[in-house]
Amino acid sequence: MRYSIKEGMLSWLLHRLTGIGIFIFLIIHVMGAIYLKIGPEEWNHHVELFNTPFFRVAEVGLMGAILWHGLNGLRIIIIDFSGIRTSHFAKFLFWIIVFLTILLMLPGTYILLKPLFEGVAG
Amino acid sequence: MSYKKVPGTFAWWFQRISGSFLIILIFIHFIDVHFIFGVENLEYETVAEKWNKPFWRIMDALMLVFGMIHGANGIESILLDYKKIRKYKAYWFFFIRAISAVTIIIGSWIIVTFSPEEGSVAKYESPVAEMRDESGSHE
Amino acid sequence: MSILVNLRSRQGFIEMLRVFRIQRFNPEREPNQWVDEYTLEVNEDDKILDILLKIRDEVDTTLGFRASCAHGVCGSDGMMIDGLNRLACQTFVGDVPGRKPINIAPLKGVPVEKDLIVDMDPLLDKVKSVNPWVVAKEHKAGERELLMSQEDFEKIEDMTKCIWCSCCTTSCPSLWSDSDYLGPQALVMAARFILDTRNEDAEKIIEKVGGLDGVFRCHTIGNCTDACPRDIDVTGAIAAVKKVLLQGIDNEDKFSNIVWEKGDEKE
Ligand code: HEM
Ligand code: SF4
Ligand code: SF4
Ligand code: FES
Repeated sequence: MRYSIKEGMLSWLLHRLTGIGIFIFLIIHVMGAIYLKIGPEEWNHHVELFNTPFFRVAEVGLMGAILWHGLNGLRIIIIDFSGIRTSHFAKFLFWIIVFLTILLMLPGTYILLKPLFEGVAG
Repeated sequence: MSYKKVPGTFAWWFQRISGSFLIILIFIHFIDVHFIFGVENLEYETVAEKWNKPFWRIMDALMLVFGMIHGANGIESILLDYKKIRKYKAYWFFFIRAISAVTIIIGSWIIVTFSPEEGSVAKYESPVAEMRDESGSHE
Repeated sequence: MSILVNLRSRQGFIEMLRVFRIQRFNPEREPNQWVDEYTLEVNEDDKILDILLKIRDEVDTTLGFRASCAHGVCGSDGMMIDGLNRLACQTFVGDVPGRKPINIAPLKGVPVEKDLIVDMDPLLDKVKSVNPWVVAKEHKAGERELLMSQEDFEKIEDMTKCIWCSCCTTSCPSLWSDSDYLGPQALVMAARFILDTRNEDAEKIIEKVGGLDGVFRCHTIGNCTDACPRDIDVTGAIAAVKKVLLQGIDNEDKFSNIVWEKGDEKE
């Protein structure tokens, strides 16, 4: 029988997964920047990749991951340092960051995916 | 009296400090890459133009260093949670730290030594600069 | 096994059929755990403990579980009910809404001895390992009793309510992945005796809560606070311990730097 996953545990699981994901992304991202040293043509060829539909959609995921990890990180910091009784406060903050993540995802997703429909990308 | 010597205290504290910095740095980076330039305009000379100003080089270097150390620290904290992995802690930590160190070194090397190739900027027409001249931004 | 029993019906209460799925274990009979289903006619306001007693008395006498006071004081009947750690004597059938089966399992992360009975020794050893007592070196026999101010007491009042049920420690994902993790219960006790102004040996406790299995294995998940039947702010107490490790202590005005809100009354 499984333990039920409530707000706190869900946010922690996501924090962990997104943390590992961003770490791996960051390494690949920096390695990709080596093209800057190789030469202009190579770099320009490399960044064309970011402009493909696949990367545009993947980048929405990346944005969500970073938003969740960052906002949840702030939530943890606030819980740790505020000294406010945690039970209700932590859940209140949980819903605040769910709201903020969605709120910030909306314009971000729009900006990332808009070129797909305008035919600029690809 | 201070108990900073208790193992793990510094890592815990650093995780919070670097996290707070990162959220600001990454926010600026995101606005910068996706809202101001746009991914379709990340050509060589966009980067050259951006890194013309030392401010942006410093921002990117800070993000790299904080991000990698924060990430490595986080992964180490995850590994420590699992008893079975902890037995081989020394190997895992070496592995994680080596990866982060290499990434930081390569990243800093790019940021510090990057200088646009002679004539390369002229070779490419910069759509970014054109668009900015016209409307202030690419939108 | 599935059994349908008709229990005495009381007038004026909503009666309904509920399925209870209880995780069983008997190493003398079978090496693995299994699940038994019991269908009972129950009321919304029946305690889970009453149900367990009825099952044991009238249906299946082999069912094993711990309980004593039946009033949420002794802390002996912590178990996982519908996926959350709680006291069987403080949980009602109506607390699990709807008609779905009510899952009952022993506390997680510790060895099971039989059915719902777990081995509490490792958990209690963790608590003992942080020196959860007051040491008064300066105090000599025959002197007047040791007092603390009302203000100082309010800082630790919340944590003194602990009934040692271990619902918190066994709900913690950090304990599930590392059985040596000190756990929230021990950390609540550590906070309680570090912040106790009469304790002159607080430094000993502080030394014991650090380390690889110590307070920094806590990732502010909050399962413990959700589980605590006494409504103790467990995660908050752990945050206080972390702050002590970070800031150190000022012996003159002990922990005046630790922000601590007075506990609310249980709703
Ligand atoms: C955007 C700003 C960020 C904030 C505010 C932030 C905040 C935090 C905090 C407070 C923790 C500690 C959690 C704990 O004690 O359990 C943490 C853990 C972690 N962070 Fe970040 N972080 C940020 C960005 C990043 C980035 C860019 C990476 C990847 C390189 C990353 C990777 C990790 C990892 C792997 C962990 C460990 C997760 C765990 O212990 O479960 N974080 N972060
Ligand atoms: S807050 Fe800490 S002690 Fe409590 S369940 Fe979470 S990790 Fe465990
Ligand atoms: S802190 Fe709460 S859940 Fe933990 S042992 Fe004490 S009373 Fe039980
Ligand atoms: S039987 Fe004593 S706490 Fe439930």
